Amino acid sequence: MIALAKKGQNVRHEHLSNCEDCRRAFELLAAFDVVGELPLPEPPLSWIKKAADISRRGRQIPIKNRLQAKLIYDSWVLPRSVGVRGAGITDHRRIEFDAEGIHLSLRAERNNGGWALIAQVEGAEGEVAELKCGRQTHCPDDEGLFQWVSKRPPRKITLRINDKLIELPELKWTKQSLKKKQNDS
Amino acid sequence: MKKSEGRPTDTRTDSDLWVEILAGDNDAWRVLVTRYASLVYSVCTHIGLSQADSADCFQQTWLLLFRNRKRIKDASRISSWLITTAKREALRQLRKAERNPNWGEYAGLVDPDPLPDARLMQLERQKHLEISLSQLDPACRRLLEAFFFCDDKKSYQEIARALGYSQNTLGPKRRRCLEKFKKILIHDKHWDERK
Repeated sequence: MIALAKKGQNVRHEHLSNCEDCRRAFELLAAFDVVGELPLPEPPLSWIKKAADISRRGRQIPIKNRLQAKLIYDSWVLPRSVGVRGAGITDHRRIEFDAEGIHLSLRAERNNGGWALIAQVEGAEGEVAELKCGRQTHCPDDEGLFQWVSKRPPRKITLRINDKLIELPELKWTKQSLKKKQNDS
Repeated sequence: MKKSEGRPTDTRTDSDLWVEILAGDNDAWRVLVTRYASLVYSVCTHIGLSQADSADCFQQTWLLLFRNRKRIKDASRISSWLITTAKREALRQLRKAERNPNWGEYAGLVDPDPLPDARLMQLERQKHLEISLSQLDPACRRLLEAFFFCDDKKSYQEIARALGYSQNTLGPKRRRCLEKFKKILIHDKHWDERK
């Protein structure tokens, strides 16, 4: 039938006028030039699970708690401990924040003219978390890591965990702004 | 089509599901995502995006559907909405990739006319045919898959042997199954809605 459907009209007519079974099948299937091409490939299961979770995440209860996270470590600015200097601006940056026991670490790495970013949240295990960076919203992968790439590094990041909205201090990514920040502090 | 397992078997129409989604039913959302995951994935990957960009395109499409759920007037057109949005997201990801300095290496691999509407319509038809096929009983589904949807073309005799039927009964069975399929296509609300 599939082969027949692809042949010229004359050949089809000749066969169909003699074959009742094929005629019925042909009438039904002629409308579908997609026959023989099923099924469409399925995405990885983890993608489906993540998309299926959007509804649960999106219907979060209203924000009751707005927290301002504190910067506790920045490899570009702060010394890790007394006597150890910060590494200055490099192609890697590690920043850590804390907000009432919820700890967020962010690693940024220059990558092909853009930035590869990985964030991890500790202290909110088992809760639904969503990280918003500019207009993009990121969800954790199977290992609990938020991973994304971006042309520009993030400036404003917010973290949503159930009814908590955690705002991170605005991030600076240039020498001048870092210097100013250091002078200010 | 070789695997019948794990196929969408929920008989609720998109409109039925949408009413439940708007009422806050997370399970209805999950059914909808499962139903059209392969369609969105096909649009996102067809353009030749990397796996990471395809993943972004896929998630962003579903996120936008959820965010715009109250604005969608005609739920029977959700598959078209998903295709249009996935296409837009795929093109956005492509433009982002083009700005990458290493893009030159891959530029030749990308279709110069990505995602033509005819191809997108074909993907949508494939998906709806697949949904209708999933409404058949397993025996009929296997039989029609063997005849019409298998990658490797089998002879009448081979199909009869594979399904455990005698060659004499295969013809009438096929006719009955086609009749059932025809009824589903005509009466199933998925197709009704699309008229």
